[in-house]
Amino acid sequence: MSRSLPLFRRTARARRASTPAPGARASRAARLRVVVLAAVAAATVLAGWSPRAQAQSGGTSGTSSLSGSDVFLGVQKVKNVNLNDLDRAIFLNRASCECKRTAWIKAVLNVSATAKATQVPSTNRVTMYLGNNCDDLRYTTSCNKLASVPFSDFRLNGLLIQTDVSVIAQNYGAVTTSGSGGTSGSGGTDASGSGGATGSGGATGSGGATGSGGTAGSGGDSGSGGSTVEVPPDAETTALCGSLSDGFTQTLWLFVGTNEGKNDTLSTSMPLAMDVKPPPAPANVKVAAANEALIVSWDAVDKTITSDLQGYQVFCTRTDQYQVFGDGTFNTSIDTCGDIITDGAPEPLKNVNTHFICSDFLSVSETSHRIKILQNGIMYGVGVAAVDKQGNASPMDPIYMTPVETLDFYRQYRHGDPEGTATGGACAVAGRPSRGGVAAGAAATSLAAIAVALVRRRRRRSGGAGTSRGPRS
Amino acid sequence: MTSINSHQQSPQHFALELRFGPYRPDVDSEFGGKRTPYKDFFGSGRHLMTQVELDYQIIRHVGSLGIGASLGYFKQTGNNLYASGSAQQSSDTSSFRLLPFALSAVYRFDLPYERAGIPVVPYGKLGLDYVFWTINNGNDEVPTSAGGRGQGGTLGWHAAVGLSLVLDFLDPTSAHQFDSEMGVNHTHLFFEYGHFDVSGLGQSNRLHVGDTTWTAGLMFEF
Repeated sequence: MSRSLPLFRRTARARRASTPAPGARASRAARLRVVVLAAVAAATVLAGWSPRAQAQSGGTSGTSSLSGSDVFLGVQKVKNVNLNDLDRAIFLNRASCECKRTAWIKAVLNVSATAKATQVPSTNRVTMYLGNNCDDLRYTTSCNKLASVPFSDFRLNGLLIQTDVSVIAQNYGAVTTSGSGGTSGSGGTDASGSGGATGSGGATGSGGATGSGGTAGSGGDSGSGGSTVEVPPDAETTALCGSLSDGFTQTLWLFVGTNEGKNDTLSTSMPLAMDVKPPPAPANVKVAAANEALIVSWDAVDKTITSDLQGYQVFCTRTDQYQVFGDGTFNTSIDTCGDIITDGAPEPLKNVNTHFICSDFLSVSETSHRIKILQNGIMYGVGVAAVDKQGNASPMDPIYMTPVETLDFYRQYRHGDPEGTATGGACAVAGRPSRGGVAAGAAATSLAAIAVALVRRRRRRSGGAGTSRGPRS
Repeated sequence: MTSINSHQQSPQHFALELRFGPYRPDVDSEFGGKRTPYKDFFGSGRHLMTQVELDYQIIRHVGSLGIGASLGYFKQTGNNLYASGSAQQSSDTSSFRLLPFALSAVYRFDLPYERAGIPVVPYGKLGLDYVFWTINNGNDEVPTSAGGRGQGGTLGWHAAVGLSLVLDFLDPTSAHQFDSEMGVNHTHLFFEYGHFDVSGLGQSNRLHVGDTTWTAGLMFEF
């Protein structure tokens, strides 16, 4: 009996479930549809599936095609250590002087793109170029091909190419020149021909050589400004390294395509900017003598005009040629060409020789600095350089000054007639106690004792409660 | 008679003061008028002393009696003279800083305010001071000279009287709200005049850093 009751209950419940009322049956069917749809939606989200992706790839995994954001491009000063944007700009600025500085160029597929990469046929090749407009097939052959590997290799290992700054600081690909007009047209055999070799703009010339219609352009003589010129593959490229005076922007390209140089699967690029133009020097630089120190002050460079100003660095020389502080004593953001100048070279401050740095890197808000640990009676040359975010430092004209002994307040207090007697020391009870001191000490002890007694008395009366300030009226 | 504080107040135990005033350490008093090194170096003007004080109100009987502890900060900067004897000021600077600590007994006669709502409370303070002082020679160093060091502490005592204006009468509703929400019973604006004898309590080799001066500020009782 005790076992049959639960069985009976289950049977009755099952019977009720198997014979629903007509209205309840309809609502259950509706709930079932909702549950199925929700399950399908959840599965869709979990699988990263979208109708568009399926239409594009047609693959079973439902991935979209590779895009530029799926590939990381970077420059390294030290192998396998990628530089951030700021450090990359500073590093590449060495193109103004140190051309053989080793640079590593890195390209790697992002982990998030692994699924997409499986959709790329293994016969595809990955090619890396330097140059202008390398994605335009007319100029690709003029670009500097750094590497070309099968996509399967790239997917596994990425690309890491060793080169140097001089290779990066050259013109490749489509080179814009300051042309003096377009080519003269010679008429066309087809009356509908138009355009042709019509350059426009200067250094940023666009168009040109894009005649449409007709076998020959009928325009001509309409060129103005520069024209884009295709550089033959065997032509000498323009080496800029060592002669940069303002700036230059190289472009690094990565193509994935059905053949070497093709970019029918993916084309992505990264600008490699070299800004070697220094900010204006701070004005009104003054140097004052101090005790074993020099105090240098200057007017701030206008940051609204020099928007890439990063701060200031103080330089100094002992007399006019000797290094004052050892290399690495101070931090700096300057990484231009000053540190390749040998010690003892003339005019180290004018040349922004970083062996002569005499301060940590100072923020844009600072307009004075004290150079300490100098020697009284020795002449020092001092200069202040404004430094921009690319690590360029403004040139300096040194100001010469000699630290001198000065009397601080304590020395003036101690020396004189009569002498100041306070010898310092934080122990207030040092020395011989006077009658007044003893009296004051006794008074203080009494005061403390009275306070303690009052507190204890009050606590006894109130049972530890605090002063209550209720209404009295 | 209706008292201004006739509402039910929260318990009151403490008073917090934030006060400011001019200050000039009487370093030159050590020399009895024969020398004035402090005046020569820093000038005769006074500079800002900022102090904060916390009082614990022990008893209430015809006013309140409490004990308080305070901490302050004072800094003065002056130009060093050239050591060549030209008496000409250089661009080099010395700074002189004081960190005064004080323990005080505080009596506030607030009976007229509590009973009659007269918003003026006279008070007095008496206590002991320890003032830590330090001199900087411009190179971020504490200078040394003739066997001494430009940093130390001096004991002393002080006495002060003051008058505070209870600001609650300006807006009683806000004052009540301040009490019910924040527990601040009263807000005072005060003016205080005091004598600080900080010369070592009779010890002879202490730097004198006391003064007789006034301060003003705000006080919150809670």
